[in-house]
Amino acid sequence: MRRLIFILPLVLFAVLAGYFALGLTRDPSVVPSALIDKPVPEFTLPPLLKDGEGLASADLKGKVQLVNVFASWCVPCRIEHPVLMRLAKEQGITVKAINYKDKPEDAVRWLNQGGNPYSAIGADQDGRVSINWGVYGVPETYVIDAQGRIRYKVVGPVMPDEVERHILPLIKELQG
Amino acid sequence: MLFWIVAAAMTAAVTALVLTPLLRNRQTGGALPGPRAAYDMEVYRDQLAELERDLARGVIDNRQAQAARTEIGRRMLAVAEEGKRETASPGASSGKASRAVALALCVVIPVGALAVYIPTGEPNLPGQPFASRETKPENGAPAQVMQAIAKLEQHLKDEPNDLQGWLLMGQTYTRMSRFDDSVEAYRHAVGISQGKEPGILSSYAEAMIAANQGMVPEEAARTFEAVLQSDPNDARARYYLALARGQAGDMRGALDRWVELAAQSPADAPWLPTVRQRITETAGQLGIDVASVMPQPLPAAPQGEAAAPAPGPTREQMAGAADMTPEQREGMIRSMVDGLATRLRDNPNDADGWLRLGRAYKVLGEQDKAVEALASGAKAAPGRVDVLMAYADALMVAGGEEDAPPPSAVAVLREVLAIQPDNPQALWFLGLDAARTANKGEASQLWGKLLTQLQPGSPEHAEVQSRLDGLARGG
Repeated sequence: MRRLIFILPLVLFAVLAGYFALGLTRDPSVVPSALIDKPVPEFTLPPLLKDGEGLASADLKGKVQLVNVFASWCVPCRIEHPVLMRLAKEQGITVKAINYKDKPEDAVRWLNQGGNPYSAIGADQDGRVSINWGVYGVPETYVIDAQGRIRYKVVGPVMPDEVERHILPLIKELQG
Repeated sequence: MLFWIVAAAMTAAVTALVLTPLLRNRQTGGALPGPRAAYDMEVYRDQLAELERDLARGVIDNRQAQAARTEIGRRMLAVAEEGKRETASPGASSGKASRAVALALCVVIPVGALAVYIPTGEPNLPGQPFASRETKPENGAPAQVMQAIAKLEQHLKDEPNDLQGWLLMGQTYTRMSRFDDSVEAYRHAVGISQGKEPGILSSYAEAMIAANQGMVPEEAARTFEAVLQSDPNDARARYYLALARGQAGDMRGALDRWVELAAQSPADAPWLPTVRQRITETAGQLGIDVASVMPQPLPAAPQGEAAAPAPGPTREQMAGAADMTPEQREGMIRSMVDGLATRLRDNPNDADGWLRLGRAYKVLGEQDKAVEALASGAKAAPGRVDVLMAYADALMVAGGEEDAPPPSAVAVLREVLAIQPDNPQALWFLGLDAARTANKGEASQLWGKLLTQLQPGSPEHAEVQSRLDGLARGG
């Protein structure tokens, strides 16, 4: 019995090492989302812009579209912003947004300067709706099909490469 | 610094943990008898008690009990004695040993920790605070600069229509990396100039890009579009609009715009290196052969039409500065040479001076003056081989013939050989002269003498040998 106590640290170390060996070799950007292929969670968010539209789960049906989670304080969001602008303005894709834990005046200034690619923006000031979406960091972008189901998720900024290789082909396929 | 304090505290704690059992053992080791002796004592005490019980029950008689008691008592004494000896001698020595081990560990643990940390760790990595401090203390600008800025800010508050003031403010903030403030200052300047000055619009747009971590925001793109409306050739606007295309993911569009800009830029345009680099990068990303798209720029523009000024010194400007230096250097040599020549006219016996002057004239390409100076030097010091050789050298350069020294040089070389009969250069050139004047015997004698001084296998040796062979064949 006493000997077991001496072996215990070794056993604990072995368990921890095994856990790290598994966990640290995985790509953190490829996180399986429990919500893939599931309908978007039920939610309603007030509009960010005075004369703009808010966002609710009912708005995400009937059309293939993107939902982008962004914040004016988020640095990688600046990198993906021109890409989203081009998707919305030149490639004819509907992009809607959840503005995550942001001061409305900051978000508005940010959109005035960088341009507004979003056809509707819901302000999620306390971040509750984003939790239901499974958001754990901004930016995140979701591809929603016409039935209102989440079909694809990008963690981190949307890069041109990602758009060409995954998002545009998927949208084309979903639009069928 | 905090890291080092924490690390030191942790090392101290670990050392203390390791040392505690070592030191405690030493302190308690002397006080207690060995555990074995204590156990023996316990057994004997039990035996004594049992003996008393047996006596009471009448199993043994008084005499037998007495004998047994004596025997047990003797053994107890023996055990006590042994225990004392054991703790006295090995206990003391193990105490000394553990003290030495403790001391060694005090050194080994921290030094070992450092020895592992310094090569594998990152001692110079700056701290990465969870939230970066947004309001820096003005980037450590000196107090005078801060005062000047405060004065300018006050001035602009009183006179908000001072265009030059706002421009200066914008520049200053940009230099201090306060890009958000810089954008505000330029916004005022754009307002005052009613958006009609392309230069101010461009500065405003550039500040916005800097404030946006190098990404071109839509407002900056719109501003550059406005600049292009008034001047379709504005290189800065065209450059950033191409960059904006690339940032939006349209690499091909960005590449085409940069290629067009490069093709329409004069070869000495300060922005051309940057544009070329972008073309190379973008073509690489697209998997296109750079050579197939890289355009030839226009010939360097003689027209004084300066387009948008590029930030910072350009490669062309640097090359210009480099061009200046040889002229300045020659001017400096010229003044030094003139000073030296004047001095030597007063003091013509300075052979070293003449030597230096001759070499300087040679560098300046004035061979006749070099000959003149070295002739004076040879006159001043007739026995100096280095002066004579320099003189002969100058005569040969000035004489101009390829493969043979002129007669004047031959005379000087003979003088050299008279002083130093095995001077290799004199032997070589006089051999050439003898060979040219068909004096084969003399030539082979001179070169034969030279050959003995040269390293066999060296190119010089081979050259002289082939010349000698040529003489022998009658060539």
